Amino acid sequence: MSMTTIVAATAGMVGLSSLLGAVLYTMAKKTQGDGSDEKIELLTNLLPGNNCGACGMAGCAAMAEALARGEAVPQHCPVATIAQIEALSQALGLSNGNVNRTRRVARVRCGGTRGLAPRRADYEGVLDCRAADLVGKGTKACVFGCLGLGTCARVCPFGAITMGEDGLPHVNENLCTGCALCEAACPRGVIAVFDASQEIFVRCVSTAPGKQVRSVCEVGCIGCGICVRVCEEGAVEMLGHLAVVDPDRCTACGKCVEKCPTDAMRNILVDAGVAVGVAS
Amino acid sequence: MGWRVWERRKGVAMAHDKETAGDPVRPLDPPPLLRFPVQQHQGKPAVPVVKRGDEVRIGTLLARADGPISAPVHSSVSGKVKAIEPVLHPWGIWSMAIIVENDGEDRWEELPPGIKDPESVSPEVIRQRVQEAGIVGMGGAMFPAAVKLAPSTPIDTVVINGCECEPVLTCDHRTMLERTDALLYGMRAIRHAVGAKRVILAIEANKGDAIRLYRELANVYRDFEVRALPARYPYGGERVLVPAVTGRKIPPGRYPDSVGVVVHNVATVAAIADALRDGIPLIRRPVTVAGAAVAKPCNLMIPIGTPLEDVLKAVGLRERPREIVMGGPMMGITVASDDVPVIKGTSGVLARTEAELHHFRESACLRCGRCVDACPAGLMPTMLARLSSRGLFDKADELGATECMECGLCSYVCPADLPLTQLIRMGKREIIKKARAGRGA
Repeated sequence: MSMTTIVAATAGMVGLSSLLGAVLYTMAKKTQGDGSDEKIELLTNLLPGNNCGACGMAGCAAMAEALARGEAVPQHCPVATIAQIEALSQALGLSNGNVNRTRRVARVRCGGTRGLAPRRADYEGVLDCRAADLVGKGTKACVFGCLGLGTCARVCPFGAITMGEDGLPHVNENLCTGCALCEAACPRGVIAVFDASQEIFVRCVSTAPGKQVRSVCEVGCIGCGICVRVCEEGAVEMLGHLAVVDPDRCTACGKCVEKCPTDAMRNILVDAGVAVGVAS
Repeated sequence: MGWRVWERRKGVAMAHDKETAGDPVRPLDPPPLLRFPVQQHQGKPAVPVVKRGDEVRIGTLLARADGPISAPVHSSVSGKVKAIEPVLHPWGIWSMAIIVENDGEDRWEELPPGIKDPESVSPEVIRQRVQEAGIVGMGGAMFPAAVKLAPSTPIDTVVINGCECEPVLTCDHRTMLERTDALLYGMRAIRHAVGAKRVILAIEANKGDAIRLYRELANVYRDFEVRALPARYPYGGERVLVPAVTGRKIPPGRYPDSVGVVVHNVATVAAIADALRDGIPLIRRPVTVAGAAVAKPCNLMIPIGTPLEDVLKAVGLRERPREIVMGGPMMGITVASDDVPVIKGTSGVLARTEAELHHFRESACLRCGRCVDACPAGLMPTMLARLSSRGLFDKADELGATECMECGLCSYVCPADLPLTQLIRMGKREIIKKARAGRGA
């Protein structure tokens, strides 16, 4: 092999690599010249990072891209805290004056524990509330109450829901972000998302008449209407045979809780062992 | 000579267990207390027109239809309305029901006059009488029959479904053998009402006596044809039946009327004949009562509204059933209690013992594809079930989950013992729920 061949080969390779390098450099400059990649990365980091999909997009990265393109605003993330929304707004150069986010949490509106609401049959099959509800409306004698198979706990991306020994889901409010994925998954609307400040709840969703409720559950709402009569604020309404609390009018005085004959009306903060008035 | 491409036979051949096929339908005496749910059809619940304390007779209107997709409910006994309150329904829901105390006197309501020849009246009269008689699809779907007699598209073929592909059930078979005159009359009435050219009675090959009987009759009357179909499940499902009989495929998401066909079950045809010829509304139906817990399986003509408890008491139980199924073993629904009444769509009552139950012992999918081969809708059950169980309902929808007819074959053939049908059913409901929410928003 002569020297000229080596020189020619080396020179050829150097020439080719510098040419390709130049092409790559200009391409790279062209595509990321506006710095949008860094911006998306920054926004992704500012988002909660749970990839829960509650915003309707594939995850936080997809949401960040939508934010960068101006197709979404930080408030569209239902789980971000006020601080996170403010940080996102700042990064996007948006005014953060109208962040009035009330904290929302999931609440379980059924008190029919294993002991209080009897079962009427055994169930074998797919262990998912949505599947069990299709087989003769499940095993609980009450066809409105919690089926207890834990679909809400499984869909929760934050690990905020655990199934208790009593057969009902329990929400850890410190972990709950109010994303409402559990609400969408529950076939009966037992678990649903409410303003965290609402204290008084009817822990029942049964719209059946009282006689029927009494036959299947000890703590269901029987539609007697006592709560409506004792409420001085007019905050309780009867929806068929079910009492419903209007959170805007309720002052959490506790009169309805005291008078409810079946214990369906509850103060959730008292139940959780929190002194009334401390939480806002 | 060319090649002829045969369509692959659909479904699966399975044990028929039709031990009551030789058992004539015996009438069951009505019990002392009957429950008539206002929801015994697809569509809007009927509206009660009687009140507590009212005297009723056999055939008295208890609840009227509410709108075009609805059906009235009639009393099957004479007596007094004891209460109007929610009762447990076979579907597991609590449905408003009229509770009638039977006085045992069997007094009849004045019935509308009979029509001797269905072709002597206008189609409109037939539709109206069928609607007023509260007739619904008695194969199990319980769709108001009068709606199918008023087609929005031209119908050239009526298919009468005498397949009874569900194992165990024989009440349709008995109806064909015992109610020949009613069937001949009913077939003429339906053909006249929809203006069809052909009437085809489809019977599965395992009912040789019925096929022979109707072939002979067809030779005499020459106004209908008989088609024998393979004795495979689910040839009685209309999405399998219509292509097998007429060669026309039903497009996805559509009904047989989109290809000019209307399908009626043989029990429905007999009920239509009763309503037109004798003016009798739908107040009783043939039911196969079977299962290992039953002392002697049989076919009974049961007054609608009879609680299952009374049915099982009348036939005698060998032991306490572990499970009660309404309908056939493949598509029937397990009921939560023996309080539930026999309704218009109840074709079978199966009282099963522990030994008859199937306990799923799930293992990993083998990817053997047996469910894919068996699926009469041409779907991939294993994929759909997997997507459903992971909550990926959108993907299941893309793969056609809503075309599933819930026949249960995928679970039946699965060697890994996976509850495929139930998972797909769950996915279907979530897809439909989402579509409804999307429309509402």
